Amino acid sequence: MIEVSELSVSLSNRRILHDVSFSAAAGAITAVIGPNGSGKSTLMKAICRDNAYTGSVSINGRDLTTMTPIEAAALRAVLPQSSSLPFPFTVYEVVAMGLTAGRSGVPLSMNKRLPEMALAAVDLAGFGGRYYGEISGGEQQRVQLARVLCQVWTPVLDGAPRYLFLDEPVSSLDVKHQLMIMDVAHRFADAGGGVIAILHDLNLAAMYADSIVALREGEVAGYGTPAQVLTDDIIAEVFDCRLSVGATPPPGMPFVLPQSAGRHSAPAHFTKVA
Amino acid sequence: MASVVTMLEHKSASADLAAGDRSNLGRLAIVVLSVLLLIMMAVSMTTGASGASAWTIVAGWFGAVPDHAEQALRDHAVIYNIRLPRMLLGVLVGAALAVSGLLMQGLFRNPLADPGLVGVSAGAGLGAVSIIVLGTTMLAPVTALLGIYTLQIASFAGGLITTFLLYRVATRSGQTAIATMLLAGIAIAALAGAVTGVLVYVATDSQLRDLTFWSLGSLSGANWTKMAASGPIIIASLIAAGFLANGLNALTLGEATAAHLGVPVQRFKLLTIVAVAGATGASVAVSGGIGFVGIVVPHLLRLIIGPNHRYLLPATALLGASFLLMADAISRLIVAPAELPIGIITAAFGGPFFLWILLRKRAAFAW
Repeated sequence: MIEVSELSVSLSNRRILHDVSFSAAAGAITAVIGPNGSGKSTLMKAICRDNAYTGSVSINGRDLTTMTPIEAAALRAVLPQSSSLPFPFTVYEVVAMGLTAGRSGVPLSMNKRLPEMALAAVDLAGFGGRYYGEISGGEQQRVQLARVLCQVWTPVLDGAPRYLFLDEPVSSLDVKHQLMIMDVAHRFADAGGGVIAILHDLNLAAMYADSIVALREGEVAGYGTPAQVLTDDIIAEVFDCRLSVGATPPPGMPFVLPQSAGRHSAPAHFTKVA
Repeated sequence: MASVVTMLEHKSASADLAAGDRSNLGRLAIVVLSVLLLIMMAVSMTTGASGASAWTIVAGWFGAVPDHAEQALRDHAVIYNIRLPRMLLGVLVGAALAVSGLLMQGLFRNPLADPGLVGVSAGAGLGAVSIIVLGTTMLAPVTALLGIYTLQIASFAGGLITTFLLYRVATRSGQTAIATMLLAGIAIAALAGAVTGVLVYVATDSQLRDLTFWSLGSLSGANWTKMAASGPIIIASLIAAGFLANGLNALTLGEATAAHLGVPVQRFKLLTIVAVAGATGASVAVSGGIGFVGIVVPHLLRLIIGPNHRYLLPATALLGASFLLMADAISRLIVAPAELPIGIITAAFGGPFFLWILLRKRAAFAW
């Protein structure tokens, strides 16, 4: 269980997050949604201890500030939005960096094969020999996910659940791989681990998340199951635009459709030149 | 049977390579470079202005009686008191300069960082010059306190201060801008140069002779005293560097990600900076400014075995040592019986090499 309580973050005297509280259970996917600038990435940085914060964050009952980097690395792995490398590493070498903390959870003799298994899990089997800088952005994002999976390969280690923190894990992926990556997260949670994912696609959140935290201007505007959070009122307030929430045929999963205000109703920002 | 096993092993090694795992290549490189270093050490011991032959000494160990006892005695002195400390110092300084370059490139996440290029050597030089010029007057208490280590520790301090300064100026939230780093390096080197200039201006004639000798960048002054003063600092720095390999790999993904992978980033950076300052400072103190070793050697090896620091670090130390011994041998032979300063040789190799890197990477750097 990850518990975030009364978390506040201010950067250069500007309040970015205010009194954010929620918990992310092991065995579940917790999605964080919200418009640009609502504080999603700041929240991710705070729970990774990249930013100073007030309030408290605990992982499996232990306060984050009492952990050494190596202890934290054994409990959670973090997927950044993007990573560039200054040196020509191969894909295999990048994925193997996930083994830095040495707590993958598999026997040492298997460690050498682990990067290949992780690459297969993100549909990049056989990519190990390619140079990281020479593959596409979407492929790089999946390579980084494979690295993250290596770090916490067994979702439960010594009886303690471990966690994946994913910052927009599918932002540059095609639809097939979006579903595939979310399936990987889903299997990780099914096996007893926990996942916190920042998602822009509300329908992916509806489909995969067990609970959703909706942020608006640094505060929690909605928190609960997808059915509780993805309602017309909350979504319209959070995103400040017209969206329509429906329900799929049984099992009744919510879905969200954007509603255009119409081609002609927008004020004319552009001047037509005859 | 044995050949089948060898074949299988060979096959699995090349399969690893195809799968992107270059660790076998790295291990092979370390073995090859160790052999190369042994050869260069032998070459260094057997070449020089005097006709002294290391082989007669080796023969002596095995009980061979020399033809001319007097000649043998002189050879003995040349080998033990001149060539041996020079060779050992060459090994240590070469390894130290190359590893310093590699550490800075890892720390700054930037293949162009090098103590010589970004002012760290200039800062270390300022420390050394301060002691040469002021060591008997203003800084006499320091000299009295530190004894034979004074020059080394002053260089170390100079290198440490410039590295910290450079890091503070050029790095913002874990990202180093290449242009800022190089320009800050120029500014810091200019500042250190100005203060050094003032010191040279007030130096006495005999101090000037020391300064000139030192600033040419040479191993020619090598002796056992210098070895005793610089050797331990360089060896300690190299041993410390050995513990940084995994952290340097993680750091290439950025400081935040390195921390997420379990690296205690602040402590790690401090240790790296101290190791760079120690290795560069102790080298500069004993051999003056020898440039380009730290950029040529790691870059060349990265092209061959890849950037994994677990193999790149030891390989860089080995090739750096060989490279400096080779440059030293050339500097002794090219105008024998006189000597060229070794810095001229390394610059003659390094300058064109650096330009080649820039041309190759022009598109990637885009500035």
